[in-house]
Amino acid sequence: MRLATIGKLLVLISVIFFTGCATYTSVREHSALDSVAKNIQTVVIAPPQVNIELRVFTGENEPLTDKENTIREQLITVAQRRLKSEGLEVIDFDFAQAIANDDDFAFALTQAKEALNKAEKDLYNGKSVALENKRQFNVSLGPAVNEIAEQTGAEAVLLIDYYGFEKSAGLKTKDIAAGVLLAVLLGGSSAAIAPPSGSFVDLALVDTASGDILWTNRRGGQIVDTSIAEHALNELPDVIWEGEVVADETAEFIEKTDIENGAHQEEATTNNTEVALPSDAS
Amino acid sequence: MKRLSPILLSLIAYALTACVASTTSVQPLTIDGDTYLVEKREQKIHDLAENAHRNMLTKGVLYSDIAANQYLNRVGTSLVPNLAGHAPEFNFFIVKNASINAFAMPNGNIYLHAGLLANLSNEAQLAHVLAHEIAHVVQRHSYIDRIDTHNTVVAAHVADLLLFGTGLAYIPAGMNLASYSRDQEEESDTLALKYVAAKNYNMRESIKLFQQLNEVKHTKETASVWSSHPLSSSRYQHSLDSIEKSHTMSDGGIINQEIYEEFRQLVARLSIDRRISAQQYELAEDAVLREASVQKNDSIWQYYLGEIYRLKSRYPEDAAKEHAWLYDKKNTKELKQSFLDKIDSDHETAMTHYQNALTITPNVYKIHRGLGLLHLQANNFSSAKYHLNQYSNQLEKPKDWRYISSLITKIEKE
Repeated sequence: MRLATIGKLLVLISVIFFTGCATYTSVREHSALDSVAKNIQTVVIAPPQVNIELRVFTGENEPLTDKENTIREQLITVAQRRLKSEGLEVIDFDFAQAIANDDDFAFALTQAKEALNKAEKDLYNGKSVALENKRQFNVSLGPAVNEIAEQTGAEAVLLIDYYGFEKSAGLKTKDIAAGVLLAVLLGGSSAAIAPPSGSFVDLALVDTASGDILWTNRRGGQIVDTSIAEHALNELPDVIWEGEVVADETAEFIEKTDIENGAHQEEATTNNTEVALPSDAS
Repeated sequence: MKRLSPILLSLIAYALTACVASTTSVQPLTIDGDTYLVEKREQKIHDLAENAHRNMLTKGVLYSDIAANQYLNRVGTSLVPNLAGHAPEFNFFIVKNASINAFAMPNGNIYLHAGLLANLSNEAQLAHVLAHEIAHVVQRHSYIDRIDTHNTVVAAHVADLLLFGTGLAYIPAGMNLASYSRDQEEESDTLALKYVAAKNYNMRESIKLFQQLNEVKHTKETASVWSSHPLSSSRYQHSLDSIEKSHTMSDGGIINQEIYEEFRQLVARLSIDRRISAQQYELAEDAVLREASVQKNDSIWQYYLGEIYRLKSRYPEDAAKEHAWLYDKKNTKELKQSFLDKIDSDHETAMTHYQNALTITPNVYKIHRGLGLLHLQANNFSSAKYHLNQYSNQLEKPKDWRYISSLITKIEKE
């Protein structure tokens, strides 16, 4: 009886211990990412969907268009840098021109984003995912991204969705006043004030042939800038992409050739020890 | 004396503030006064409308078929009343969306969803919808709404301050906003009848329009005024009353029926594609059966039915979700199970429809696509590979050849 109780307690303690230790992640990776990555060398960054609004006291919220454009450009730069550092070749494609010329392509891009939004509802269904379980997902967008491959020639596409808001001075003042009033009412020493700005980003790397979501991540923050995207992209796994396979194979080949050449050289050197080098000839 | 509760206090504040901020009088565009876009706030909503249009273009959600757009613009422009002074130019667009919806922007752009167009029987009904949306622009409803929103939100903020930022004050604010639009809808209905009568359209079709839309399963679809049952019923009565009061019943017959039907069939297919892609299988089936009754013996309808049943057997949980949404039910485990139990029969039904389609027109490649995917679902790899290869090997590469090739590769690995 006592042993059983102790056993139960041990189980309980270990459950608490392991639950406490479990690190959760917002990253979702395809279960076959390692093998799929070996066939992917090129990636294109789809125009990031960026919505930033100024929340105003009157309710007439305004889109912050200039800020949207700046963040959009910065997101592309940040993503390019990260993808290149992973050994991927980033294709420079003029999406604006292609969209202006072909509304079917524009719609294909929209459908790809719609498909991703739906897929992400399944990927982020409210259940936490422990770090060690992040690579167990098999979600495909189907043929929704094929048109991107057709137009750009890229083997993968990075889709980015960014939302941000800033509050006007009037709204910030109202939030502060409400927070202070609440603190006074509750007799507290500090006031809880709603954040004056916020941002959220969703990123997904998708195989443009199979539509498989290879990697996806999301982050939120209280500042409207690209730092959340940088942090999210930093969690892109260090897998071997096709370019790196080729690079590795080349390196291996060079190494092998060097060794072989080295051996020959050695032999040659050995054989020609008594032959004067041209430089010596002069 | 009992202290007044903060909630009561704030509601009083809310009511007082709402009373102080009364609605400004805004003249319709038919009355000369040249006030359009004079006020900064109206200019702002005009700019927002322009921005929204650019967004729609960038997203490719506007249907670009030239003939369909020319037809729509011809009918729409003819209904615009004489406007005084500075007024927006009216333009009409088809949105690649299957829901029963239409909307007007303050810059004169009017958007009709393919789903609504597919459900209209003739040009007179189309004219009524267009006239209704034109009336929103003519009456400057967006601008009035904006003023009302401004007043209501400011009042709500004041109330929220007294509620210490709990957000409770925004609930009555939302209700207040909803009630404005209903008045505006009725005003637009009344004006729409005038506009269609002026062009000698059959006004009985305006009445039929409400009856017809009530028969479509779309009760929960968006917040569209064209798809809300109780509103349609009251609007039906309102329209009848308006016709009686005006003592006009234009009986101009059905105009341009052939041209209209050609236009309608084009957008109907677009609407079915969108329904399927949005996983609205039951609604898609209704639309297909409606079209099949008009255009018999066409393999495309059999193909579509094959697609719908294949996808239902592939995604039974989504089919259950749609069912719950359509009939206002809870998406319970039992409901999901009932759809899971139908996987085999849906699979069989899909197979039958694809085979029927092949019998009617054996050389339609996308039927092979459907069959290939259906066999793949059942792990019949050799049949799946055969049909997917048949589909991929057509002269002109299909747009999704990469996806199909990736599936064939996966099959070969099995």
